[in-house]
Amino acid sequence: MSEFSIYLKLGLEHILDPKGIDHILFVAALTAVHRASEWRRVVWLVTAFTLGHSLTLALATLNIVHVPSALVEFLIPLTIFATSALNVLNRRLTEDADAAGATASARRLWPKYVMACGFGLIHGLGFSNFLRGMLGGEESIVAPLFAFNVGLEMGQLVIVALGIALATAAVRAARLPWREWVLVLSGATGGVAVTMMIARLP
Amino acid sequence: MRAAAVVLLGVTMAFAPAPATAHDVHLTYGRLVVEGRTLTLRLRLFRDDLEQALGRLGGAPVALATGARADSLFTRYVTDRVQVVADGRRLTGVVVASGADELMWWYEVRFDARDTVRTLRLRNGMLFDLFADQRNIVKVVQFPSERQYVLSFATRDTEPQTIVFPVR
Repeated sequence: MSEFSIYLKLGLEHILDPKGIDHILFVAALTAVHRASEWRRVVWLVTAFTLGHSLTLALATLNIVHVPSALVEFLIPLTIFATSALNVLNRRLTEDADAAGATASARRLWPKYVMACGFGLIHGLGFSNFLRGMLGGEESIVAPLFAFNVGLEMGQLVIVALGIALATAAVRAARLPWREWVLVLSGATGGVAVTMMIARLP
Repeated sequence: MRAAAVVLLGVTMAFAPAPATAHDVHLTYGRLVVEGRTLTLRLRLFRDDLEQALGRLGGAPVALATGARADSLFTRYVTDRVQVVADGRRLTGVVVASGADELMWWYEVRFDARDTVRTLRLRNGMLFDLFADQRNIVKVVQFPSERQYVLSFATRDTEPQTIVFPVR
């Protein structure tokens, strides 16, 4: 097995591991407001998150930024809470895009894309800190971190696809308005995030 | 319904499990340099994981420190968990250096073969007894060819992996 595939598999397994609740919660909160018909927006959101991860790759490689692990571990649930809070507080995010018009809706979403990118940066910092510590100063973290990130992104897409399919099925079965589904899911992800923030206060 | 979401938030705050640390990746990293008949393995492990493993081995809590006692315990652990077989002969390692690096602890272990190593069989089973999802990566670098081989060991891998080095 090549070094690339080892780290890719590690990233994929890491994000799909049910014990890795941080990432699953974040992806769930990020994509909660979107229905299956809005898959293009979801792809853009995940891409924005990937962009943040990639930026981290560059920053970590060039040694430009080094954020203490304890702070990163606190900031990760904060990103989950912020995303959940935005879902709850910003009613317009869940309004029917067709009714509002695609252009207007896309304009409304751009802060969320920026936020996803910024939060991707924070999540990526966690991984770069981990890999830097694990490999030590003698090894380059570029290739392992890149492969690890590719594995994470693949895993994220799997979670998103499963999440949207489950949400669609649940909403249809329970005959819930979509907005109510979003509130319930965001309430749950936000609540868990708060407990994690308290436990990880730096 | 917004009120319901807030109530749910409160409920999950009260009952949800709150991991104190971000999801751990249970991983160790090793770099094994093979040069002639000398093999030098540098291992990096998370300090807390290693203390837990050594504590279990020694039957008492262990606080890692550079010194004979910790090195001796680690030597026992490596001998038990890491199989290094050069040309059919199992080698025993000796700790030659160790130290801390933030959250990590590193050890340098030297193995001496009888002759220039041609075939290496390796299995790194460290921490497999602690974590079901443990993975150990070892990068093997052979000199003078400077060829690199990356091996990955998971708990399900019970057999050593084999590398045959090029003959010059």
